[in-house]
Amino acid sequence: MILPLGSMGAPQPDAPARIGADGSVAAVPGGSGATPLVELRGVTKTFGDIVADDDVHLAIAEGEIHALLGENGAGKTTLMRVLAGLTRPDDGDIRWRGAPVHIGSPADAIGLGIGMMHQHDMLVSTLTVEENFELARPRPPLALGLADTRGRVAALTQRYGIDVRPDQRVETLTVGQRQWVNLLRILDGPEVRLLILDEPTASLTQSERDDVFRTLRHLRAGGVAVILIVHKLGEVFEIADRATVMRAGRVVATRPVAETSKEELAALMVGHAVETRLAGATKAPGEVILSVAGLQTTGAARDLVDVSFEVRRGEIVGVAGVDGNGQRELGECLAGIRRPSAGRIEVRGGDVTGTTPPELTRLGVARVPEDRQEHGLALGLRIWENIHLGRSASRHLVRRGVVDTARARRLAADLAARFDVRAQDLEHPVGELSGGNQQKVILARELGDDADLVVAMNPTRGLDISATQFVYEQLAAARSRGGGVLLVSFDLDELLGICDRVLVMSGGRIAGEVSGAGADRTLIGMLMGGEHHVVAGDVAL
Amino acid sequence: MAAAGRMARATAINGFIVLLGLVVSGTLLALTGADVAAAAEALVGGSIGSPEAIRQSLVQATPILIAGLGVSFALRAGLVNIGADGQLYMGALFASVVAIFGPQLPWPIASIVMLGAALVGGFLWGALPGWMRARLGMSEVITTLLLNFVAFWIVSWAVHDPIRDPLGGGYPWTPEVPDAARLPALRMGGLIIPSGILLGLAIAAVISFVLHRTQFGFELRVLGDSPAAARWSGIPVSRRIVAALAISGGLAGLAGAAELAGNQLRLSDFFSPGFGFTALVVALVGRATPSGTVAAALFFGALAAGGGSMERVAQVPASTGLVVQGTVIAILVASRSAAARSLASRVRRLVARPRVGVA
Ligand SMILES: Nc1ncnc2c1ncn2[C@@H]1O[C@H](COP(=O)(O)OP(=O)(O)O)[C@@H](O)[C@H]1O
Ligand SMILES: [Mg+2]
Repeated sequence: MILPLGSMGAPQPDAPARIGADGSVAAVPGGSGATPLVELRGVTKTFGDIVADDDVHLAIAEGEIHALLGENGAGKTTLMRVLAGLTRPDDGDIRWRGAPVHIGSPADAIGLGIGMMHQHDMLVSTLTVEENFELARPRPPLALGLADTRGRVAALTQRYGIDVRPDQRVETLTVGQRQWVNLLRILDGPEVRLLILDEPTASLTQSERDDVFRTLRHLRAGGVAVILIVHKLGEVFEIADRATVMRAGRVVATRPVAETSKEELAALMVGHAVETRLAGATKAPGEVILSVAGLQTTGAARDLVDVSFEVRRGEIVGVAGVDGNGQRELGECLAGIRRPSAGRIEVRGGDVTGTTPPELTRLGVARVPEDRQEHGLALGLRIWENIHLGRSASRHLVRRGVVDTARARRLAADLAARFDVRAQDLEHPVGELSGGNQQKVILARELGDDADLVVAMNPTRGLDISATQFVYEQLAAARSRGGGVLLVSFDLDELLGICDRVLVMSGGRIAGEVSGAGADRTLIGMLMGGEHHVVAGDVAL
Repeated sequence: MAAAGRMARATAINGFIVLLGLVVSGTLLALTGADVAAAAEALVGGSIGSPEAIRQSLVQATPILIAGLGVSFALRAGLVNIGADGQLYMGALFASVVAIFGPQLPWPIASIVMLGAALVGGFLWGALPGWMRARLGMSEVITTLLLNFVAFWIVSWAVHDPIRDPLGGGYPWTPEVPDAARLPALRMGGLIIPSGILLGLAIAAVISFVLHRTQFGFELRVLGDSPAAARWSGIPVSRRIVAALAISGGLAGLAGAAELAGNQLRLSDFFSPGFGFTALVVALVGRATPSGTVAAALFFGALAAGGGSMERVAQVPASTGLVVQGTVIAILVASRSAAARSLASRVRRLVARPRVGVA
């Protein structure tokens, strides 16, 4: 198993993990014999007609990291909420160290030593970090002791090497820092024996994720059990001891990680075998479709410095890099919502520097934004309206300012069917769809007209395995019909898996370029870390 | 079809809330020792009991409907227009200057010109905070609120001095709007319908069309739902913000002209008893939809008319109408809270217990 690149962040002594880096589980109790820390027996939970969890049995051993896998809607979150006292099951019981327990409220769970970090963070943005700690810890009224909290928060952040001040407002934190606050808030409480993390890594960068994993290993060494819900199979093999796969509310299998494979887990999740890699390009790349020369910005969070590259027809070009090294700014320039201060962007030889999004759409440039819920969709509007969004310039959908709604609906229905959007009908708000289906709505809108150039930013972030696979297929389809694709991603496995070439960004520059298949990860890591002076000569084409 | 079902449910729920509001306020009234039965009779009689009562209710509903539609329109674009009262005053000012001091035109041209002038006055008074928001980044909540005072004092000065009626017995008000510019009442099968309310209904229909059938309205709704998505899809956000607030203000200005030419006939500095603020309530209660705003305006208009009659007939203070109004608003707001929703879902679950254990 290839381990991901080491973090470029603050060095920390690795916890004395008792599990080898190869994921061997010899030392882990939880097989036969030892009493599990917690055991769910026959847990069933229904919501109206939906059976979220169906007679689920699950045993977690002390000191193990247990991955919980499954497609969106498989029932993972609901099951964990039962453990955390947030959802009352219809049926089934729970044993804690062999003894039956009743977890009727979050307080019961905390009392046992169960802490849960939620899929959607529950911090109050307008409050400070320490105030959020205060909120999490119920105490008698009038016993506010912020000074005391401040000391605890400071100690915790120091201990885990987190660069967050107690009096900092949560809204000023990065996604990764927020995640840390969430985690530390749980560790701040009474001693945690079972830590539940619901998709904690979905929006983290690789180095942030590495830091979290290091902490989990440390906790495991102290005997804490961890249930980790993730979608990326690579992460399972990197950190977990055992993995349980759920499908449609049922547990399909529990496997020691050392005795299974990505292919097996993927197949268990979706119920049939899946391709985890795309076939490479079949044809040699054609003419240049996107050409970027000397691009610069000013006033951005990370300014671009002399960024130049080309994308040709029939190739997928990746952009790798640690979050915050100019990828977002590059994407925004290409999407027509940020004006570069210098340089030139050409599509099929025509200058499009500083042009508007509708003009780009007309030119066949598809843009998949990084944050689908913020930038890509108007969540309160209907599905068909979101497909119409930004397409008004095309196909005579608008005549003299009046929308031909019948035609727009028909077109949307057509695209939704082609892109496999699963929805009752297109009249529902798009916000009611799952993340994967929301992404399909964006793909349907952007790629539907056989886009010539696709600029996609982290398009698979937080998606489950089928939805991720779907996105890859669509990008590959754009390539094979002769389009060019630029894929910005923080996921190196993804980039190396589907890209023909990968550009590495660092400090707002293109630090170097490697070919997709068989690329040297160490080299990429050095490029990402800004070591391009040393190695650029060896890799740049 | 789903939309029709949702609408029917919303109507039923709102009807229930109104009823609850009436019961609660009736109880409060009973506690003060008033004759509740007589008050209720006066309330109903004074709002829908006779053709004249209905006319009164519609007259009361007209300005809050038209201004309420303006507020709703801006809300759909994510903009909170608290300045409808000032825009209404500016509209009425432009209207009275043109109608009273401009060339005397024949009916209906005089009416149309006057309404157009009001539209322009309100439009400008709405465009200003729109521009401040789009270009200077100033919150429209504050600017529209403050511009209310500016508009009020401009009108107050005007009616005290330059456009004061010399024969007005010393009151700070303008002469009456000439006959040719007034909005007539129409007789329809025994009912007397002020034409201002018909204007309001027509505007509601137009707004509904604009919001749901035009690209412009679509873009405003995207903007209201997600400014970031609007920017990403290339909607000219600044221009849309100015346009939405200008149109919102224009409608409030039109409300001023409708009140002027359909009811009070003179502009004074006690012209609006807070129409613009009632309009805000109407828009919020109507959930910023044209049909909801119509329903809410008619209800609040009826309450205002009925409240007046309660005072006259049942010797209950007219402010009782305000109590009913406040109670209904409080219940409406509470009914939309998260707590109420979870209560409702619990009730639903109790009513329809799922068959647990059935595979
Ligand atoms: N509060 C709820 N009300 C109704 N349905 C729910 C609720 N929570 C979850 N569900 C449904 O239960 C199923 C399992 O959801 P969840 O546990 O969130 O899955 P996962 O976390 O594996 O994606 C889904 O079909 C989901 O729509
Ligand atoms: Mg979940």
